[in-house]
Amino acid sequence: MIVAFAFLAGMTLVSAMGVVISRNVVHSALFMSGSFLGVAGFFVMLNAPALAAFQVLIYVGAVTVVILFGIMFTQKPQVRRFRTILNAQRWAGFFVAAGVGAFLAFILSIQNWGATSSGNGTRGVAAFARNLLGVTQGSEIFTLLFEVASVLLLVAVVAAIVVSRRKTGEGVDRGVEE
Amino acid sequence: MARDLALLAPEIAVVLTAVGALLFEMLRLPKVALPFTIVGLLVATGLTVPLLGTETTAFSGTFRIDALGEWAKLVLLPATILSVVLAYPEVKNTEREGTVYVLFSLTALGALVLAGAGDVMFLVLGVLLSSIGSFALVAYPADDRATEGAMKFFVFGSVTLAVMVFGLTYWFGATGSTLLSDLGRLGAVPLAAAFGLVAVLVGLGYKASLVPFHFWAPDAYEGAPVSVAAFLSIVPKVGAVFAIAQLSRDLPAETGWPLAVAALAVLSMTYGNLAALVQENVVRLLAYSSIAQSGYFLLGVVALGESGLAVRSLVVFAAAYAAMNLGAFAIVLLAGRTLRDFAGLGRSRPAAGAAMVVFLISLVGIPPLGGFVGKLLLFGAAIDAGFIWLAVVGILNSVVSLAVYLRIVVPMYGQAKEKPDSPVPVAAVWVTALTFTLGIGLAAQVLLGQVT
Repeated sequence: MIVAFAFLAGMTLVSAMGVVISRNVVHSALFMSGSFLGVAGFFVMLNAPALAAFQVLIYVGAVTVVILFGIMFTQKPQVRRFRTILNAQRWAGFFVAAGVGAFLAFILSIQNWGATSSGNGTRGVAAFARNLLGVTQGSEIFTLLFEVASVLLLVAVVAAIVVSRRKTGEGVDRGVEE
Repeated sequence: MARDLALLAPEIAVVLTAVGALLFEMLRLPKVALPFTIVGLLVATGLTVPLLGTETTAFSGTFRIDALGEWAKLVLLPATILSVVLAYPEVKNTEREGTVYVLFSLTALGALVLAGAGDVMFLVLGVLLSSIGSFALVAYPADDRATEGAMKFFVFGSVTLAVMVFGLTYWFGATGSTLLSDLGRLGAVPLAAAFGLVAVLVGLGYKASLVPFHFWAPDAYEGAPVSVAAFLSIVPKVGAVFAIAQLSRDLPAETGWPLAVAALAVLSMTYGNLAALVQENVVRLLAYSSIAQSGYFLLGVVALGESGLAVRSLVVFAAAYAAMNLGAFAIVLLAGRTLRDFAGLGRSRPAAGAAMVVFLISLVGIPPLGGFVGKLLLFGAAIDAGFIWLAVVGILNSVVSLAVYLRIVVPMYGQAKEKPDSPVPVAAVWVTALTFTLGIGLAAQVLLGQVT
């Protein structure tokens, strides 16, 4: 158990560092999928296989691919090198991040969590799904949340179109006949 | 389920309005999308009226139908309508004009979700929903200033939201529930509760542009179209303040939230007014003034649970603030963005000038206007709850704010320059806002009876 935890924690942390210090945006995106995979491993260890599956499907699969698409579509083709900037603030940033992490870990370790109850979710996939969709009586906690989240996606799409729209006569769509 | 859906009729009407307007935009009929949005939001406002007085929750306690949520709809939906009308002269005949109206409706929906939140997940979704549309609205003009403002807004928003989500995981770990009504269990885990409180105040404080989470506000307001600045200074802000109120009602007092909120109130009022004193750009000046105004809102939040006046004061001040701030921004759209543009406005356009004076002295809180009634109630609620020192700070700040607003009023009655244009929609907005600013002051007694 300890070995598995150490392996997953190391994988998550090293990948996360890789995201930040890699000079190549594409490498950063790939490192990020490694970090997400580590988190999926934690979900398995915590006996939440459904969440682990979601984590792999949505984050490792979809989100990383969409980010890669985003990088490739928004870069101009003649600029071959996708560089991120590591500037003089990197050490300050490192110490702030380490400090925040230490502070959070301190709260977690010094607090007596004995009095708290375990989560209000169910771990079995079937019961979890019924709860999530509000089929069981009295479990409609997520029903409205789902609807609001879908409206959120609609807003994101509309907002993306508004931000990326071209004024008439400005620029040409590559591959699309005007 | 059917009962729950009936309780959400106003929100559903807002979503349908946005989707309908989006369809008209798709058919390249922005001239239809505009009246459709206005009528749809009016219908949503009308659907809220029969709900008044209901005190219940929907969907297993995750969404609250109470005085705060209902009055948020009655105040914010009309404010959104006026912002849409104000936006028309600014965005007409631009590419994708109709999407602006759609984003106004959907961002307002985010504010309504925040105001009725009964679950911490709704706080996250509400902040996201009211942010994403706002980024695009700020960036709409697509020039350098707008892009810069939207970028600052976006980066700041993402970071604060991430902090908030992380803090909420501590609360979830401690209480085992995401419902706000279960937050009472936090009494047993003071450290985690305190960290979660700080993180949530970061996230909601960014939406309400409280000091020290206000950095985005002046830049975003300055880069955005004036109508968007007016909208951002009212709708998401009031939504976030009401969300802090929803949260504070259920937090155990041992977490120290009244003191934390009081400290934010003092910082916001003082810094907002002092920074507004040195602005040359009227939009930035109003941005800092709106930061100060959100500090006044917190006086009502601090008094929650201790004083029966608290909810009333929040609602009345929100209504008055929406009217007077929208009016002030409408006059900015008419006159221009710098103090120099205001020179002689009172002589070249006497009616608009007089209206601006009314809006500004209402923002200071001079009787018998709407702002006075709202502030009186807020100070009363704070004193009632034992925060006398906070009320004193608020009153001192009102004195400072008089100097801020006089900086706009004095040049208005100087040498007259050329007469600025007055488009019909802008005039309609400031006349409506003026009616409400005066009306709330006069009808204070009636309005007070309505809010329980």
